[in-house]
Amino acid sequence: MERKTVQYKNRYMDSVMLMSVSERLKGMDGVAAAEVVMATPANREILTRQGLDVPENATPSDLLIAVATEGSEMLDEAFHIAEELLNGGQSSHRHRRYTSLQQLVQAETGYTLAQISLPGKYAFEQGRKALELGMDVFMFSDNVTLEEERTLKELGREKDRLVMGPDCGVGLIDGVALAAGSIVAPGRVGIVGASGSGAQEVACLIEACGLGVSSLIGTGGRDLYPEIGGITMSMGLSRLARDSGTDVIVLVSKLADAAVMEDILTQADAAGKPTVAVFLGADKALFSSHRTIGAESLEEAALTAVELMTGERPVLRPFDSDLERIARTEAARLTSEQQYFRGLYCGGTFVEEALVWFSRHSRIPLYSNLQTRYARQLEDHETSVGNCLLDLGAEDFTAVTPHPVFDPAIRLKRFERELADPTVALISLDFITGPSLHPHPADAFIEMCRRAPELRGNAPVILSANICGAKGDPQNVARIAEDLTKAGVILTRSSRQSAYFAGIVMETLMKRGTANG
Amino acid sequence: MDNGQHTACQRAHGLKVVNIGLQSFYEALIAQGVQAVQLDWHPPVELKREIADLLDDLL
Repeated sequence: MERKTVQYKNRYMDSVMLMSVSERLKGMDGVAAAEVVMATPANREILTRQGLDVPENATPSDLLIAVATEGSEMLDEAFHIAEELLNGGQSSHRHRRYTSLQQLVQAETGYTLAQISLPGKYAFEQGRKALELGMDVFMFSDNVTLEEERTLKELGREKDRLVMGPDCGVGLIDGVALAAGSIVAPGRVGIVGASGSGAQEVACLIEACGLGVSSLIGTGGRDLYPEIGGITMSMGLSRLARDSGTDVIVLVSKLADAAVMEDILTQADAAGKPTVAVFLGADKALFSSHRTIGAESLEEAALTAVELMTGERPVLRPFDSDLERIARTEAARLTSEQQYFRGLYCGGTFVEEALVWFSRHSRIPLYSNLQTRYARQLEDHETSVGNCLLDLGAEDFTAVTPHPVFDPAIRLKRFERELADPTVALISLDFITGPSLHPHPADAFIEMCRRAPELRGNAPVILSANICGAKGDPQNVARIAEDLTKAGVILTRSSRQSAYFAGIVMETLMKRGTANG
Repeated sequence: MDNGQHTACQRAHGLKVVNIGLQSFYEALIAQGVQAVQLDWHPPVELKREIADLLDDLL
């Protein structure tokens, strides 16, 4: 066995890039072990345990490439590939490289937005500096404290600069998709969202109805906490209210603090433009004293916004009635052993929507990896129990691997296990597209669908999926839809409709006396 | 400054972005034709233990 470790002093590389290079090396024939990591104490331990060399003077600011192979030729090849990938990734379209914001603005002017995706403990400082320099801030980073978030947002408010985040996954500003967002057609509906995938679905459905979006302002998941008080949602609402390019406004969030929601709705009433709001799980009574229209689902919010724009309720396919027919037909083909529904989602808001939908329309008991009032929490997030709705983008799964919208591997493995489970009746998936997301989000799943007979001993299974993506995204949403359909996956038009479809399947099974909790 | 002629975020010169963090986010901006720069950010260098201790003694 040949081993070599190369150390690059003070060379930083982000974790997504490092993981993808490591995976590439591990996949090479003849490579027994490979790690491409920053030399943190935890990573040094990982290397040592695998028998890889760790330089004594390595610090967390240093990059290590450590490889063990069966022969020295293979070792050289592995290093050659690693260095090419790392240097290729670093290649800039610019000649000059700046190590600080201060340095940047002294040399070049006009920067209007800082998009920050550093590890949480470093994000606050860069956000603060960006605000001081007059930029808006978009912060994808999580693990920023609530205190830091409040400080940033108060500073932003003082300077009339938006702080979109922390933990903000989606944005669309001046037609540009930020972070995990989609490139949605331009138009005159403005969206402010505390729920990334939720706001993204609203935007994509508006496009599917033939209209477009002026801006999608993400606020981050905690903006409506009482400690933050909706600072960014309020500022976003205000900007869209004054924006000559926006005619209708949509607000998107999960259920939030009652006083904050009330305050936001009061502000929305005064916006001077028709406004629709969806707070998933909220009681209708919340809206009774407000002019702002309440929607019960992401889909309803989008359709209502389009109706406010055009005067006509839009028509989207497939219809619920089509899916009801398919659900009953497919459920009738299942064996009596098949009882359970498994939802494997990338979009946290889609899980929330499904949980809320089931709590309102169905009596089936639910499990989830999430801590939620709508379901029992799984003891082990790696093992599904009963009817199970999984957020594969939650910390349980993403603490050690990239989010499933960037890297489908973990969700794919889970899909394989669920497919092989003879008690499973229905598996529901979501696929999200965007310029920074995995280039082929559905391919590996489609391949796995083809293996389903082998995994299941020819027992049938129902597969459904909704695609959250825009025509402008590089992944070719129409092609994904076509390929999924050919693979036998039933497509729904929205996360609400996926829940509806699952509900009919489960109801049909229950009537047969085969569905169980 | 805000006069209703502006769209939602700063628009005077169009969006110009500094990306701090994931390389893939920077590449997505470039692919969309955005004026963008990737900050060559490094985590703060850890002081060696003995220097940190020495400073503690002196200060």
